[in-house]
Amino acid sequence: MKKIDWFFSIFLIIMGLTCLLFSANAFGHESFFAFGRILFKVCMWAACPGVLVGSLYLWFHYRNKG
Amino acid sequence: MTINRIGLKLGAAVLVLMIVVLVSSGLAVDRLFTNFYDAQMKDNTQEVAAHFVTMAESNDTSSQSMIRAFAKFSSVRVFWLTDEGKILTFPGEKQPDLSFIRARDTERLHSGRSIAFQNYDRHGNRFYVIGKPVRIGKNTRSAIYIVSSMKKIDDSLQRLRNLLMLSGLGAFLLALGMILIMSKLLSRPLLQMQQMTNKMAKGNWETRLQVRSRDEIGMLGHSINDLAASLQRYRDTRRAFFSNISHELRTPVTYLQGYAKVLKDGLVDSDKEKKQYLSIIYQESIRLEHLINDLFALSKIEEGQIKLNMEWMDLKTTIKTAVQKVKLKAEEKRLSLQLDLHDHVPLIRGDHKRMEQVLLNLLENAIRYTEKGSVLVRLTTTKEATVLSVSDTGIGISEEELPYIFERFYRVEKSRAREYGGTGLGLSIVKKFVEMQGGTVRIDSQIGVGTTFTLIFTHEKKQKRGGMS
Repeated sequence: MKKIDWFFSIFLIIMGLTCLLFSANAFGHESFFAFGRILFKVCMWAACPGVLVGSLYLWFHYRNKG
Repeated sequence: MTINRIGLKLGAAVLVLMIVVLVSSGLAVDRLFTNFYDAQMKDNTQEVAAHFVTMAESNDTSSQSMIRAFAKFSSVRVFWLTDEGKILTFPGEKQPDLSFIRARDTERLHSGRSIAFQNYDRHGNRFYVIGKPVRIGKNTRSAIYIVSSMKKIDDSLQRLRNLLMLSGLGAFLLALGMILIMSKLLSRPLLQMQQMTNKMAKGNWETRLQVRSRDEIGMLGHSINDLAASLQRYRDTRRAFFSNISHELRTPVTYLQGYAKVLKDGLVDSDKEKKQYLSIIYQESIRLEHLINDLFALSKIEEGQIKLNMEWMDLKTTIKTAVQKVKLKAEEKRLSLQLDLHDHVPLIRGDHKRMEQVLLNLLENAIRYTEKGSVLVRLTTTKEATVLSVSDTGIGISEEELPYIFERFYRVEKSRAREYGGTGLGLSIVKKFVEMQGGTVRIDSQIGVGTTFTLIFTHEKKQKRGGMS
């Protein structure tokens, strides 16, 4: 995958998360900064499985090579 | 951003699935909320209406004003219907819009039955109407209408609907981003295979795929790699074959041309020399004929055009016939041709003609590469198989050369190939014919001691092939 593919995909994922988060917090009347903080947290949690899978893949890859 | 067709199809399929799920679940959630709020509001209004009726039935003079005060707190409107069918109004109160009151409902109320329905005003706002009879004593003298506006609920539902759509859009974008990654990752090996097969189609068969997965796609990648290797091997062997064949054909033709020219130009000094040259021309033409016959036989075998005439045959007879044919050659070289044929060797199923050709090739080879000593043909039987071996006391074959001995045009003594004669195709033909008849060929050799070719025809295989003919 090229960098532009990754960029476009991650951009869409973040946009999707923003929409979901906005609708989830619509009745909460959060401030813009609070919303940004929550969005950052959610993005980090969303990235966790990706980081975990990537780490496991690298670990298996180098272990098999070794 | 590059978009490939397989990725697009994969992504589109998942996306359509996602849209179907989102739309259907969105509709279900929308109906769930709408029905829940409606039911809640209707229950509340029924409850309020029941209270108002109780108050009205107390027949207190202050009950009308009390009901209106409670109605104000409960955000509902109350209309009092007299037994004459008129709506009571307080002094100074505006005449309300009573278009929702229908004659048949009034009749029902006066007959003591309740009514409830949903209606719309001029502006399209929903409202819920409950009509309840007021019984004083045993008679129904009047009734009350309770009208509850559903505007607040509709506004809340609309907001909820908008948020649901936003959530749906969010889920859609999230899925789209993930589908992009997934479709790229899933379609990548297929694209690599497509690129590789394209290269193969253009003749680049050295190219190989880096296969990492062990699933069906990985297996497909391995198969493509195997196919490329086979094609490469085929091309290499074909090149080698053409190179060999041109060399093998050119050599006798050169001899024929050279000696024929000498004779034509009269460059011979004596009759003896002339006879010698004519003898060479004859031998080379024989050699050329053998070469062409062998090539023809081999190509027919490889194309699968040779049909074997399978029948029960006695190997002893075949051996004796073949030995008889090469006896003269062995005697010319003063070699002892020995037979060791065991009794009670069972018949085997095979093609008599092809089996004789196999034996002739093996015997001629043995005589060709043996200068002194003997050639022994042995026929034995074991529990599992019938074993036929041809042994010689010739020059032998080195261990390194044994794996290549059945390859076309492979020669053990390359430098003395012409001296020994032969076409270089005999053993290839032997192997092919034996395998076609369900047997196997084994070779044991030692340099300077001799070589033994063993043909093994297992009884089991023989029985399995019993139906073939």
